[in-house]
Amino acid sequence: MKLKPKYILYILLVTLVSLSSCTEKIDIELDSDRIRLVVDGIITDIPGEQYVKLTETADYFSNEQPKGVGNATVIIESQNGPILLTESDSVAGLYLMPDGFVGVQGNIYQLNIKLENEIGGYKDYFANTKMPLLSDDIDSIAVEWMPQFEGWVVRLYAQDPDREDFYMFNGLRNGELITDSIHEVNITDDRLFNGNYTSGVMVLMFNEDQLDPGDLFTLVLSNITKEYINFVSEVQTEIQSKEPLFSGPPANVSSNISNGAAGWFTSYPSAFSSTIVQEIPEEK
Amino acid sequence: MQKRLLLIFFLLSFVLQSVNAVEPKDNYTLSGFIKDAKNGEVLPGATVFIKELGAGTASNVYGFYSTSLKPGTYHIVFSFIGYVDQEQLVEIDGNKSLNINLKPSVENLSEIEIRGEAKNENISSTQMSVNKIDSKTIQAIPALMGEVDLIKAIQLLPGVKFAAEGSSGFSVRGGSPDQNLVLLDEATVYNAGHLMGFFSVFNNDAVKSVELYKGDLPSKYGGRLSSLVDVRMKDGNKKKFHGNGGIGVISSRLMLEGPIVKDKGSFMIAGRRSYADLFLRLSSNDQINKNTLYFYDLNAKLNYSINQNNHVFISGYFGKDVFKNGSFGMNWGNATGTLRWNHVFNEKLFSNFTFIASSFGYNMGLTNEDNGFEWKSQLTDYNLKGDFNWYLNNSNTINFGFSTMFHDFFPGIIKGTGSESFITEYGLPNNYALENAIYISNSQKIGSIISLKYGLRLSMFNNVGPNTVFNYDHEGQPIDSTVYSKGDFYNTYFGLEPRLGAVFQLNETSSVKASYSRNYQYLQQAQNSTAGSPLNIWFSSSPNVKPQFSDQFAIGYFRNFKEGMYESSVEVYYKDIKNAIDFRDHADLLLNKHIEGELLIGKGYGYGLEFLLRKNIGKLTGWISYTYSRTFREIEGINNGDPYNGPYDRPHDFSLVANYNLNQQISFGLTWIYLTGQPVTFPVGRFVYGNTVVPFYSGRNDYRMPDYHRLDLSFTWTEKHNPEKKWHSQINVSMYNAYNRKNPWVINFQTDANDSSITYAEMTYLFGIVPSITYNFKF
Repeated sequence: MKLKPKYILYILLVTLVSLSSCTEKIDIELDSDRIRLVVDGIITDIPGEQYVKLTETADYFSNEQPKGVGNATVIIESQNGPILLTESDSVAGLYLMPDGFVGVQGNIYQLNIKLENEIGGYKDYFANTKMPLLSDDIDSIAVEWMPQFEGWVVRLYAQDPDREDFYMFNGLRNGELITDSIHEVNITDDRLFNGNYTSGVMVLMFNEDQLDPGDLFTLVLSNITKEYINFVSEVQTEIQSKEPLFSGPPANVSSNISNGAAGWFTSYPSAFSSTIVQEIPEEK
Repeated sequence: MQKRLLLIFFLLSFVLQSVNAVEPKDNYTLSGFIKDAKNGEVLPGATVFIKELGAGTASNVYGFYSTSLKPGTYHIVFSFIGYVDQEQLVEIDGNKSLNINLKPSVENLSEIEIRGEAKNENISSTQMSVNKIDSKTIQAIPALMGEVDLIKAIQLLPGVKFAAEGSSGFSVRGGSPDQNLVLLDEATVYNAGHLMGFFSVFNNDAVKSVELYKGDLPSKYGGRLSSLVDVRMKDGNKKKFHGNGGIGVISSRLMLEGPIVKDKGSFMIAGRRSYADLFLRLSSNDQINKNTLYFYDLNAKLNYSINQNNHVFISGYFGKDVFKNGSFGMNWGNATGTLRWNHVFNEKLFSNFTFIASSFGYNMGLTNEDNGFEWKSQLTDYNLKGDFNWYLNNSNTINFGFSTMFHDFFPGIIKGTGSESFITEYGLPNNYALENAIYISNSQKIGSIISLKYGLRLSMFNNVGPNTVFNYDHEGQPIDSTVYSKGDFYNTYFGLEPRLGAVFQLNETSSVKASYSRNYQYLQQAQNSTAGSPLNIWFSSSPNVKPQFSDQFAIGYFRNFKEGMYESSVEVYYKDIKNAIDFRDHADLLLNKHIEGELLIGKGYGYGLEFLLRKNIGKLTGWISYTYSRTFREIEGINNGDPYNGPYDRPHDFSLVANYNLNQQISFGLTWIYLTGQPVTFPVGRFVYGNTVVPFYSGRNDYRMPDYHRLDLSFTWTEKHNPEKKWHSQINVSMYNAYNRKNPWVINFQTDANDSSITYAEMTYLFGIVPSITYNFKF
């Protein structure tokens, strides 16, 4: 669950702690970890945005880009039959769907991976995902300047269907993805507004320098699965700074890939809504 | 069940009637109250030593004592630490009542004079694993920002560790902070912290004394596994009006006390208000300087002696923290109320009846917006207790009684406010429970060498409808639910809790003690962070949550030196916890209907060696404590089911607390503590998903933070005592973390802002040197 109040509490914490606390880098010796396969796979209903990325895990302080895993056989199966993905020439370990392929709401996709060499003791890995139904009833969005936060908030005006929905929100600035890392997207379930009209719920927040007046801002609303929202929430929790008042103990994020591989294979449909960013109002 | 309760009451009344029948005819009873001659406060734990018998007794928590004597003439010494001994020649030719007023000792008496031979109470008492601190001692300890704090003082005792730096939470013998029963005039205090725990809710001006029982609880207490912190408020000066207060860096306080009817009734009222937010305004950061942040608390007590045999007390506490940031507001706090009636049935039977109401709650919300929200949570208790001390004869003192408590849980509801609100009300319905107990225990002296304490507490817990109880699968996902109607006692647990102890008195100044106790806990806090926050709700045992229970074995050697000037003890314990509760990875503990699905049940165990050397009198006072202890948990679903270091497993723990009174004007305080680093889980591997570096962790708590150590200093100047003057001033200067040790509060692993493939470790430390000054006054 992503309840906003919890985050507002961090303001209190920041207020208290910032009065007297300091941070500094510290040297820590860490042990090595075993190597595992990592899968980052996505099927969407947007042409050209489906891929499977295979990499390896590394030691925490390895401080290198992850090693791509090439020469694997990657197949995605659905009720329309199996499709073989082709490996990208430019990026090692990136496997792409044929041009023109789009995912379909309600379909189940099965991912089968056969590696050239064993990683983590296995050659074969698989996972599956069902693309949820889209909540495609957006009236409009608004981008507002919030003086308290000295930043932008994106408000959504839409009808939430009367069923359990899990949302992921991304933002585009003039067609360019701003939320280009998984920790920047916003996720929420609908337990606080199920079946209601969301009259201006805040769905994204940006710093002052991330948007300019006059920009075309596009909100991407995606319906994701319950399992995937949990996974994203876990990733976001684990990479957030921790503190002893609110943070639970660190824990590994879950995975829907077989044989102990890390990562997730997901699919989701998306809806879009755009608006022009207005001037920052003069302070009264 | 009701039949059983009735039966118990019959038994109790039978016992009451038979009190007089048991005693051999030729023995008489000497009884009465022991009080402070200056202000009329009763003195709990004062000793009564009969020279001719070489034996004695001690006053109970209300200052009442009772002892049996054959006819004759006796030299009886009444004494209490910090008071001048009083010897009386008493002729016993019938039951006799004798009230004693002890004079506080003038501070500069030479060290030897103050201690009498009867004062080895800590040696002869059957109670072990207990530490007592009075408010004077607490006040002498250097404090963070000058805020004198009894919880911080407790954290310096052997076997006790803070949950995190600056936290009001603490771990006793490896237990979790929610395993401590914190009582203020017998009322449960569910959240002992102000300002997220940096300061405790106890205003030291209103506190008389505090006792810490580390697991070996007297039979009359229960409901928590690890400890009891018994805080008693001052009764108020019965002789004359008097006040004191202070102006500190973050708060000011004022306490007034005085007689209502001289020598019969008195009042005490104490208030405190912080002004931390004044400092926030100085911040250049807009996020911070617009905030409002403060706490206040109020303690009040009235007492009245109707006659020699009937005393009534009313006391209350009310405290709140308030935080506002723009239209976001939040407040939380405790309220407690205690009504007590001490009744002396006869010289052998002392009773106390208490009615208690206690609550903790929080509120937060976005208020002045069109689509705001409001979030509330509250826990309220009502408790009735009856407790009886029966001084059967000089060898047996029996304590028995009952406690019945009703819990009203309102775990939390969030709802929309404002004209455009789209938030549907979401929350957890109220649920109810009854927690009852009956107990009986006897302290028995066998000759002059052996004393035994054996008691039994029978606790009973009922969940009471209406409620909807979910059933969960292996993964903690709800499968189905059962609905119970109003007044339905749908679930019952019993706990049989033996509490045993023995003392072998080797000689007058040394003894060996052993104890065994079993404690049940039916209420716990949904907290998976180390320090916890006020938002962590309490939840009860239920059909899904079996009560936790612990067995603790302890053995110790106790020795006093130099006429009791030094007290020392060495204790070894082993503790075992069944049905220990921990939480699933990434558990969602806030406003979760299926919170019981987030629980994992297993076991915990720990052992330790505790050493204490304490000097209570003289120019130099204080203590040295050292603890070596380990604590582990073994829970299916965490760390692959393998045992792991408990979150409060910090093997070496050393504290030095010293106070030196140079003369009546000048004193110095020093505290140095050292603790093994906190166990932590660090990342060992990583992977990249969605352009983000995600960590893979070591086993749970496989690593440790750097060791913690800190020195605090204080200097106090007190105005020369002048009986002509009414107003007395005192200035206290303190220095927290005097050598500026950077103790990590938390270690985080960050990704470099410019190159996402680079990760590094970063520590946050809370306090550098924190100097402060406090002005105190007395009139």
